[in-house]
Amino acid sequence: MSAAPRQISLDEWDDRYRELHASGLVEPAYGGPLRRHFEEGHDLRLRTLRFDNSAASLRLWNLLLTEEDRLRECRRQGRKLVGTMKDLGTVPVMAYAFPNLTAFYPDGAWWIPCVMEFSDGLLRIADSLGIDDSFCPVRAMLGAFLTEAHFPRPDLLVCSVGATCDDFSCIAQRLNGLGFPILWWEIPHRRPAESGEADFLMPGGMTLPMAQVGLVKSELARIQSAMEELAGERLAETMLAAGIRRANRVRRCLEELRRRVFMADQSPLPALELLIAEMMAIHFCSDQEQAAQALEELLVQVRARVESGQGFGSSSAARIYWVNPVSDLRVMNLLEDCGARLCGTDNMFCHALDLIPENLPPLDALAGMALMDPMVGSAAERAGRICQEMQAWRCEGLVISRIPGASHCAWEGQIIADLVHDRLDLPVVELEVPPVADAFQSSLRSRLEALVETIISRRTL
Amino acid sequence: MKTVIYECPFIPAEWIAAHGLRPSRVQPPAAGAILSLGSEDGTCPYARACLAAFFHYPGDAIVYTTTCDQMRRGCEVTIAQTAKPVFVLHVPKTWEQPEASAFYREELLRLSRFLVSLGGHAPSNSKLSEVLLAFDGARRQLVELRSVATARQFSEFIARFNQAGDPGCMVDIRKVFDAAPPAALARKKIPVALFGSPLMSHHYFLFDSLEKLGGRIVLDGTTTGELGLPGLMDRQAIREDPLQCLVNAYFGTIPDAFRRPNDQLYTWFREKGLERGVRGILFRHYVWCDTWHSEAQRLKEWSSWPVVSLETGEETQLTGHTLARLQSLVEMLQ
Ligand code: SF4
Ligand code: SF4
Repeated sequence: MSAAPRQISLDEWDDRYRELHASGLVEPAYGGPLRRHFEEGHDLRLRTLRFDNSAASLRLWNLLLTEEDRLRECRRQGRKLVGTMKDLGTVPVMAYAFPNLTAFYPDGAWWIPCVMEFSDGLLRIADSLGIDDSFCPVRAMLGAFLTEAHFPRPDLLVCSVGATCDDFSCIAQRLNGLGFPILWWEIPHRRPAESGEADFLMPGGMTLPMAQVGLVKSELARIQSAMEELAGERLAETMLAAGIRRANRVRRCLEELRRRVFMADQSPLPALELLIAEMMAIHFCSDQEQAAQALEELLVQVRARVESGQGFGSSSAARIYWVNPVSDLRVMNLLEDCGARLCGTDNMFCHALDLIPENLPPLDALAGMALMDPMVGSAAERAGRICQEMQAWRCEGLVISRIPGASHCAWEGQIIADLVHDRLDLPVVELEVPPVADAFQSSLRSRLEALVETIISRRTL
Repeated sequence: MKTVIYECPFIPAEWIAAHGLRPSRVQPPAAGAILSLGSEDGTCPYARACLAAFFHYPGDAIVYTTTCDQMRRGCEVTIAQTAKPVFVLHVPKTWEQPEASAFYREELLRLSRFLVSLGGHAPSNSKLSEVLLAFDGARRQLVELRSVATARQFSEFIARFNQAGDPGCMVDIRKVFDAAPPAALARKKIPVALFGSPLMSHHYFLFDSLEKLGGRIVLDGTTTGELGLPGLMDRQAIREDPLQCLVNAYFGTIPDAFRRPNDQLYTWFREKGLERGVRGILFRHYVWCDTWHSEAQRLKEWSSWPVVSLETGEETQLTGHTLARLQSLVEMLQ
């Protein structure tokens, strides 16, 4: 079933799919040819992308692109749906600790305008509600809630606010004003513990002020109560601990996957599929078990490629660290077209890739992890982790992808760029990527090519 | 005496004053090209203006809050570029649970430790009560001026009061008013509410421009105006638990747009609007200010009063665009 790694188009996937089937591919229930998402789901962007040709990546894409169906099926089966907004990887862990709750991530509507090439009309709905393009593409979520065309109305809607972006906080408030009840919970701006102040030690050595951990813990306890009411059962500490272990199964898998991808001589997984894989850590694509299995299959594939010395692109490709997710997925392909490969990422949720401590009381552990979110702390701290990872993964350049309209990007980009430049003396490019970047393709290409040229020329110095 | 500067209405001046330091709430002029404060594209002009003012304004320490992401992140630029001590106070956006106001109270205590590190003294309850009573008394005098001063005067007096950080400033404010009392309040003009993003120090021309066109601002619903005033305090409560009184007056009453949920903002606005006989709303927000911009359409859907919204940048005088918006508001109401 395995073929040499190659990036193939949607059309080429038709033949590849037949080939895989002929050689005995067994797929999960959500399996099938990629083309159906384009034809039936109107995921028009797929025709412009190039995909990894492995069966494992096919499964990953199918898991991602069937989430809407899965949510409707959950509703049909009587499972309760929890929309976890602006929470990158904490509340879903708790939700999946209940046997009859399914968490999903309404913020994921961020990518719908890209994937459907605006045919969804979601941004127009946001415009009509006064949330125009001065807000981040997550504004598509408003339309998704109102039309219910992409996910059913959840039974419980939870949103973190406090040290979060203004975009999301305002969009969620707009949603609330339109009659969607929201359970708001506070995440304070992370700061170091002050001298003499009680602190809480996280694995990795970061100390958090106990007062902040206490606040988040009480907020999570409130969410827990709401979920217990919804689920009709109490969440025993052992259940939450088991939920954390299940989340860690996914995180462990991603940790190895990322390490192998970033450290291999030749990249064993394209940038696009890596981005999709990382996304699984936040919300498990509405099926935690399937997310874990899909990632494990992908890891097996990556290990096999590394062991057999197979991969994508050239082993001399420029090693890039990428900051912030791209609103247009196609740009991940473009990066590789320009002679680069992904050797590190900070898609704003690196804390959701770290293992949740299993030796702490579960609610304390979750509260601590929520506070480790790079976006609730300072950009300088975020930049510090980026520098460490760039060194560990031998990155040669940094791309900061600015998100159109995002309240954090204009301020943090410069801080991150300056720190990376000062500490590592590596080239940095900051570029803005709109949801469909076709019109900017040539300028994006020339900026990325210039970065690659700079990296290559610095190698010979 | 050391001066502690800040911009946010959720920093209680009384708390700083009770530590023996001078509080001064900055109302910034436009940043213009004074400083390189990161990219203009994507940054709120008011946040940029605050950063610039913090660099230039005479002050010994700066207090930031986290009420909006732009300021939270702008704070990092300040920290990187100034030698002055900077303190960041987290004001919870949620407020419905007692834990939120308890956290705010804890943050005030943390601020106290910072103020002590600057040379201040943590106040006893009786000292704090004394300061609270003085500020509250002065604020009552300030609020009384509203019915006799012009709208512009009243809003400027609020800014002056905030900047002075001293209840004694009411003597000067009174003098200024007595020296130039309004000949007659423009009662015949159409009563309008100003609502939205805070004003920079040179933005009061809006009041005059509107008056020239036949309108009159009767409610300054910005955080640099009435919206940012803490609630008046109960004297008995001040004596019983002055710190909690402070928490209640600030965290418990200022209905800013960033709060979640922020329905209290609309309740406040409706009450004041009805009380003042408002007939229309001038809604104003800065470009890239999500916090207020996102309320524009909601306000239109909610309001039975006509609303004209105005997006502004750093302009220091009346622009053609602003004039056209003011004209359309007045014409709509005539
Ligand atoms: S991309 Fe940035 S601005 Fe948009 S929702 Fe995420 S954190 Fe907020
Ligand atoms: S005007 Fe808006 S964006 Fe600017 S500092 Fe104030 S709340 Fe923040």
